[in-house]
Amino acid sequence: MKQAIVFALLICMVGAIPAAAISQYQQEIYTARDRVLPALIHIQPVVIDYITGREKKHSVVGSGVIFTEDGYAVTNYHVAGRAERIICTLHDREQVPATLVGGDPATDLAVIKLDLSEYTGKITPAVFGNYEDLQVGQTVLALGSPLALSRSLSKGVISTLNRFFPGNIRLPSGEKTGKYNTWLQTDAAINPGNSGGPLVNLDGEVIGINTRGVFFAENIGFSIPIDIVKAVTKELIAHGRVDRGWIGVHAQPLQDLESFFGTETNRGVLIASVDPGSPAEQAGLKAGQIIMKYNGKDVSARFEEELPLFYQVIASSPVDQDVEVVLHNGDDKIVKVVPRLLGDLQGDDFDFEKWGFTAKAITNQMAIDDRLKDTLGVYVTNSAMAGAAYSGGLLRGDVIQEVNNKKIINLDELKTFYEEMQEDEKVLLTIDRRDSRRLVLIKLDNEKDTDSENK
Amino acid sequence: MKINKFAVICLVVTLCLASSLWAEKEDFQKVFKKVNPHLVTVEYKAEMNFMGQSEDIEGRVPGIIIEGNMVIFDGTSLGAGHFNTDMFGTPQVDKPKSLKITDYKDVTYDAEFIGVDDYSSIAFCRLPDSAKNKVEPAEFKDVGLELGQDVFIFWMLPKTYLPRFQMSETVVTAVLEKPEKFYLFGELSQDFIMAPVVTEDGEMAGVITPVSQTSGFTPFDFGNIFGNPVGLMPHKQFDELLSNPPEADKFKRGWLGVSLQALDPEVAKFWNLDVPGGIILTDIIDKSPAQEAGLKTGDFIIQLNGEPIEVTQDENLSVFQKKVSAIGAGNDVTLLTVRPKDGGVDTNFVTMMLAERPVSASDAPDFEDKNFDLTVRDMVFADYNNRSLKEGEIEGVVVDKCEQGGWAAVGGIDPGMIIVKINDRQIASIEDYKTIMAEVENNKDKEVVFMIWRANKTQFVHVKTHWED
Repeated sequence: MKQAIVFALLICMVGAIPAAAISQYQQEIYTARDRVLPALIHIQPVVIDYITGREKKHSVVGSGVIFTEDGYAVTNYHVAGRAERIICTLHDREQVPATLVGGDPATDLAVIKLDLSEYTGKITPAVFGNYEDLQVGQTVLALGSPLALSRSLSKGVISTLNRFFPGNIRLPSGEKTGKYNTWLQTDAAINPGNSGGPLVNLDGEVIGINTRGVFFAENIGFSIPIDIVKAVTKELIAHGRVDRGWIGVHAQPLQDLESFFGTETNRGVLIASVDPGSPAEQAGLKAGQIIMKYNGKDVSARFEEELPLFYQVIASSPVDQDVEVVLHNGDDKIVKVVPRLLGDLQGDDFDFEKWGFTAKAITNQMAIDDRLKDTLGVYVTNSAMAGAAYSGGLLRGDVIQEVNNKKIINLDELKTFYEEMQEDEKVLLTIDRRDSRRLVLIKLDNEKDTDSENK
Repeated sequence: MKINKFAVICLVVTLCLASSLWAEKEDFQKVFKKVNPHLVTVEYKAEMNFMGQSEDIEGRVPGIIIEGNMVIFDGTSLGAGHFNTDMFGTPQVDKPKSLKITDYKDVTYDAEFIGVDDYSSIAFCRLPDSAKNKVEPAEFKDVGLELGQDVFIFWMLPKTYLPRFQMSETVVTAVLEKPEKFYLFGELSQDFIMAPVVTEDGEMAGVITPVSQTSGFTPFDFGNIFGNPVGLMPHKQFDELLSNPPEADKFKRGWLGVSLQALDPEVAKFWNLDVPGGIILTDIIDKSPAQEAGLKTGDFIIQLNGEPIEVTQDENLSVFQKKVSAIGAGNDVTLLTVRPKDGGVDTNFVTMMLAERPVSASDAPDFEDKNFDLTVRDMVFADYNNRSLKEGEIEGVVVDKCEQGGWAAVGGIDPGMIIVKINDRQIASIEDYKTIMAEVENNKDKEVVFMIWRANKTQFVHVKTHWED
């Protein structure tokens, strides 16, 4: 009998302990959910793109999270960064309009401001957590609108804290992203539509902004870490953009190369390449040199995950004034470099509808990325299928240098010519395509009509 | 006896039909007997490269014996020219390692590869001296064919069959006049490339070649995206080629050193110029004949040696390129050039001596580094051109092949990279590479640091070695 009682007690205990633990864990999830859900928004921006050779508006769906009482919300640049108008659905399913405050394609973040003038409900902003407190294996929740299914929650853990992708991921609008940040990797399900939504810890604090998943993979998602989100949103609210210093060096990890270059482990950053015409080139920096200190700060990148930190140091350096770079060459050597503003990654777009193509202004970074000679001319985004430019052979990436033998310096000059052009005028574009200079004749439809009438 | 008229008529008709069939059979047999001795099969073994990996391949194609103890054969799959290159400018198929020619008597000879003509895809090889006086060279004739004319086509049978060729009668279904002369015979498949076309009189009028490569048609022009259209290239168009095969020490292809765009007559009208077509120079290569003759980017060429250039679309540029190529290096050409300027044009006759076409990637000296499982080669003009670099802007060697799992591949070397330094020492040629790597092997270095160039950027690649004791 005594044995039977002990056995029954054991069963109760064994049963009771996990039951109590699950209950507490579940309760933490509920608490976290309730803290962040009132700040979650479903975003429907109307974005404009030019990639087909036509200015096209289309409605997309993303997620976001409100982080101030007066209605500032953060989302992804690729969701709302080029939005013409934005409609947000709040946690209580009420809809409010919003405006774009600013976007930062380099980190794929954007801030929007909700118009709460006619909203009678209560806004409870989300609280940002701390990157330093995060741990691999920690339970996290992803909230948002996967495949436009609003107010969805998925659960997982932080798979890794600082995943690195080389800075050559291109956003749909053409900008390269990811150079200045690492990524939180999570197995919480992240699907298209989750973009811009919060990744939260069990305290209900936002620890990342969900940004991308991997197609054909099982729950491999990536979020922009909260420390980057904090810094970028602050800049976007203050200035509408994030300005960064730029010197034009490309670094690579020093792992396994220390003995070759004669450096100590975990000291210095290896210059792999220097952009032509950049401040770094003008200062005499070269591939194979090791930067030990930049603007008074020790820098190091032994592993690739440390590269974004180095680029952040350069980004935060003052522009148009001397910055001291200490190089390693056995005997420390000091070089003065004058950082310039990184500037826009992509230029303004315009639809030359009558001619049948879209084009954009050329920025310094575009010229470097696309290996153009300089920023002179106008960059062709695309020719519209079956349009006049397409028939004439104009291709994506061509740079228009002249129109009807008149030199074109920039997009504004081409727009002026386009707007002042007589309807029946022929248009001959002189374009640069890689190293060759070609002629493209645009035969306008009205010209063809005139011909057929004459016949 | 009453003669049945109907029976007589039937008899006469039957006899006539029988004699004509008999005559036709005789004609068939005569043509076959005349042509078959000139036909051979060519079995080749080569190495195919794709994305830096290589694999041995073999094939069997038809060939024809020509004067000079040579054989011409189907070179479409042997990419020794400029066209058959992959994204890194590396030939997809190397020059054949072996060529075996089998004639109609079933005698097999080992032949020496000469080269492939880029425009016609006709490949050339030389038979051994022992074949002289034993093989029977074909003689082509300039024969003008007409639409609807009956001709014979010979094509190759499977290896186990004897004879090796069969013939069939077909009809000319189109006579192309522009952009250059070509005959079509309905929809022939790629299997007919290098098939000789013979008239009913037994005259060899030419061979079937891909139409697109020589005349600039694209498969899309024929609504067929799965293969290039093929047709008869008349003998006149490859006669010069037969007497000047693309052998390095014998005939040097002519080269102007320009990039081209077709001159649409509508564009020419922009300068009140009335021409049927022409060429726009879109880039002038440094130190090329065109540059030394004073030609500039943006100039038009409207005549070549007195003949108007009727090229109006980029797809037909090869018609002009082929002519320049065939004139040969060291020979003069006279171009009528037009330089557009404000409110008009300047017209000039310009004479220049054609230079040799730059060495192609497949002809560049290469070196297989068996330690690092890496094949590198000297940089050629196309390497600079493909990467938008001025010739000599960077020095190095190009990674042609990099076998998976090899030291170099594991360390991060990829095909297409340009190695500019090894262990901080400049590499300007494969000789430099060999010298440094010989030292590395001698010292049994545990690691090697390559500085490479790719996509306009340099980077360092650390490669660990695993020498066997």
